[in-house]
Amino acid sequence: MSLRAKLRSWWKGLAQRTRTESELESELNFHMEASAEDLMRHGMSREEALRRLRLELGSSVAHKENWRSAVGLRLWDDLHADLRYAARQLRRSPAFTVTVLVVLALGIGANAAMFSIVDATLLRWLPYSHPNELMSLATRDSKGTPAWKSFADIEVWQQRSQTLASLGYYNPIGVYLKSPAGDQFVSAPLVSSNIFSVLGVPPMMGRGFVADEQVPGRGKVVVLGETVWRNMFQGDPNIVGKQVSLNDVPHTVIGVMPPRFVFPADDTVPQIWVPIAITEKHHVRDFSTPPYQAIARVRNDRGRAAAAAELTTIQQGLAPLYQHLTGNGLAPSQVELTPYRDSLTKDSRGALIALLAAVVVIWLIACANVANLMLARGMARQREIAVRGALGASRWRVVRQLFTESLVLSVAGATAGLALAQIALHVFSRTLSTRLNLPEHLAPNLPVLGALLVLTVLSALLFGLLPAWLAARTPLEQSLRQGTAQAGASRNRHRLQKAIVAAEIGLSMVLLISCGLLLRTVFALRHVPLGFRTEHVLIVQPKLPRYKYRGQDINRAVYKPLLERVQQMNGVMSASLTTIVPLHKGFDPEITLYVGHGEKSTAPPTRIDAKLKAAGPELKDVLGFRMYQGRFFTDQDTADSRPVAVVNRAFARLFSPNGEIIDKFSVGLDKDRQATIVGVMDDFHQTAIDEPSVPEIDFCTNQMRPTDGFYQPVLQVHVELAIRTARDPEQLIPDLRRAMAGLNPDLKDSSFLTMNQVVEDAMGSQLLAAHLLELFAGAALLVALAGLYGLLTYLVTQRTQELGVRLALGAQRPDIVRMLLKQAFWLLVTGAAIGVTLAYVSGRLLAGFLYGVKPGDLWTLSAVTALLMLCGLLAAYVPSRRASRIDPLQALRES
Amino acid sequence: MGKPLELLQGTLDMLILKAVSLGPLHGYGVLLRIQQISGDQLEIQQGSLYPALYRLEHQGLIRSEWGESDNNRKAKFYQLTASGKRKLQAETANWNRMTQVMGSILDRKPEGA
Repeated sequence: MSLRAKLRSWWKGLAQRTRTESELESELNFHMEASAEDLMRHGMSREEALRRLRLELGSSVAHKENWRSAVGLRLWDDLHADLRYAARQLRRSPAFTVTVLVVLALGIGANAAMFSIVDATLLRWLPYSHPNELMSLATRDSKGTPAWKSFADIEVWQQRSQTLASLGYYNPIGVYLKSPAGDQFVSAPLVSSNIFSVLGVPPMMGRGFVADEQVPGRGKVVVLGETVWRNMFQGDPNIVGKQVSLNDVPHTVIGVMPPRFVFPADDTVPQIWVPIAITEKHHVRDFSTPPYQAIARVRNDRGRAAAAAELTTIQQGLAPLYQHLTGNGLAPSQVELTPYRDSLTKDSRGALIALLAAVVVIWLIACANVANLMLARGMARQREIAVRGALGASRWRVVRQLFTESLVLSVAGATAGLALAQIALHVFSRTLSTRLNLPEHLAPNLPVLGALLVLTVLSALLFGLLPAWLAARTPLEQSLRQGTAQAGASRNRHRLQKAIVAAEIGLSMVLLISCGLLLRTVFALRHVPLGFRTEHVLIVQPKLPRYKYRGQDINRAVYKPLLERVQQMNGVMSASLTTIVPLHKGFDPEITLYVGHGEKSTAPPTRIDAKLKAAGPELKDVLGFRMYQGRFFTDQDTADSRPVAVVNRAFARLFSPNGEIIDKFSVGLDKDRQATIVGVMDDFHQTAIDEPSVPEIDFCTNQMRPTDGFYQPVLQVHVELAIRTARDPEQLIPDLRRAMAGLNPDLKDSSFLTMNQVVEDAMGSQLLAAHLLELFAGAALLVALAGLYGLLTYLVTQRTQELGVRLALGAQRPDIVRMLLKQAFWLLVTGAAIGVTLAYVSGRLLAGFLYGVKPGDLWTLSAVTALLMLCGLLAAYVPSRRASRIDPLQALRES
Repeated sequence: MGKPLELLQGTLDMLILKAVSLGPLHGYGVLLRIQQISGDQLEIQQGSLYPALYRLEHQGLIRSEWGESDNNRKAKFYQLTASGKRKLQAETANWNRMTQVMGSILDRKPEGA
């Protein structure tokens, strides 16, 4: 085989070089000896024979070279030599090398980190077959606000749709699963029986669900996730067919899903799946039916629009069926399809794309900067390159040499960047994962490394080829004749370099302005008067295996004793039960009230959509909000006293224009108990910092009974304990945990967080974007300043002679500084002008994130410009000052 | 005997293959064998011999091993491989056709002469 022969000779050339070369030498020696003997036999002297042979055969060095090019190792040898030469060159100018490496590491590092994040979110790998065909379905009413998805509608879509390949539905809930390892809270999405075939993933053991298992009473079956099977049942190979208990109800295991399968994909808790039982209630179109999420598989890319159109047509036919509930216009009448992957990141998508744009800008700045440095260096080395050309190096060979140098730099820079990215991801992983629901270990993976490789090669091309090409294009004898490259020939190039620096300054301006705007947004958000206290407030979310308390009033059995215990603890100033604290994301029920204004009124009934909450009398003291009118709940409001409720001002305004509501309005708790409004709270932000208050009605926890209509959505589903502490709330957590475990071991899974954390979380994408942009903009500023500094230093070196002459002719040193600073000043002004223009364009991208500040905010623009000018002039001052200290004699003598 | 002929471009490889096809030879032996067969009519540049040998070995057409020369000195001997043999046959056939065609073209007399 000829391939084997080739591989053998390459092996000999690379790995056994010494041995191979000594063999070549002895072969040559043998030839010489044998040939010389023959010549001597013809009467030639030995010396003469050897001399002739040496001429004919060539030296042994040439011989070895011949061998290497015969077996095709020449290219490799050249590369090797180029690499060694490049390394030597780079070692000889450490300042240049370090600058370039730092700049590249920052540029590539920011990109590697951001690509890792994007890969884990926007491009997220999903454990389904053809995940791009999966669509999440949502409905809207005729006004475009998100609406309900009832089972009855989903069923009709399933039956009538021609465009969908399949359609499934689910409702994520949690249960307590009993196993040999103990009770554990797991995620147990209720799913339609076809869900695994919609997702295109069959169970790895056993089977999936069948339609019959959705009939009530026949669905006591469960499919386990691989994690649950492995950790809780020790990977029992005979698990299928066994009984397990969910919330104390026995279920039969019918299958186990393959490793890494998760559904819904944003779940972080181990999962099992249970079929949804379709009861009578499901076929009713009203708001008491459980809400379902729908996921569908479309046939192809075009299927999405077609399916949305078809389902909307179907849904419009169904809208009249909601007439009895909503009156006009509020029935779900439009259907929207969003790629399932996008639906997982809908909150952070905009921020991610903006940040991705930001890192691309950083990369451009870094490349421009390095190109500039290389250009300057290329010019300084013109003489060397000319000499190489004169000695016979082809232009291509010179370009290749310079290109190798830039490749060495980018590979080294990329490696450093990768390390930097790894560190950044590690540092930010906690902040990032709470915002973006990222996988636990975020690290640059294969696609990211691939992208990085492409970036590296691209940057090498970008900043290596241009200077190389320019350098190789310069006529030989011109550069040889000139002592140093400083004459008019390079004026064009100076112009190019200045343009690059101005562009860099402009681009970093854009990032700085964006960062400034976001910082002002965060500042504005932080200073929105929230209307309640956030310092020294701790929130406890008790997590309880509810099935153990079925038929009991948890409020009385668990939460009341807990509250009393906590109130007596050291360091607790006050504590209160409540449904959900303001700004906290979670179960947040709303009710729609149709309000009559008494018998005598002629005004039509008002419709009020309001947040429904329950609160203890102490909540006002814990959160410190103020009453606008009337009173909050007190200890006198008990189960036996007159039922009362309070509303906020937003509610009162809707009720009557003058906001008079106390004692004028009551809500039925059950048939014969009417809760009267006794107070109006001042508005505070409940849902988001950048959104105004929404109407809210609160009932008193002490007055609510399990038989009340509002009890189920309010106290049954989600209760939190708000505590006002005397010192740092974090310090109270260990004591609290101990006290709670002592009181009721079932409370051991409860979680804690401070009100400040709740507020930070509510700032969500703005805070994330601001944090990362601070980092990015800082990096960009640094890189651009390094570019400015580098360019000026270089220009000063180039002009040493000229400056020497000026000094010798009587120029004052301050004049020199002023002259150079003026040059820098104009570069900065040009850059700033470019930056402001670009920022105006990019402001649109940001507009969605801004609060309390406009994209063209004058204050931010001037502050950023001032900062840039100041830093820029400082960077320029150092080389200018050095230039003014040139010794004219020495400068002239050097020429 | 006139001046030795200059070697045609690309024919050295063929000559080497032919030379070693008659039996293993060291580099100097190849040189001698070619001169001997050609009746000293061909002159081979000694400097171009070895690059050609290396190339042929790299292509897997010949292989080499160390052995002893006639006067008991260590020498590297080259011999034909199976694929070298095939190559030589193909090249020979090719050459024969080429000389025939070239000959008939060059022998052509002007029309009507």
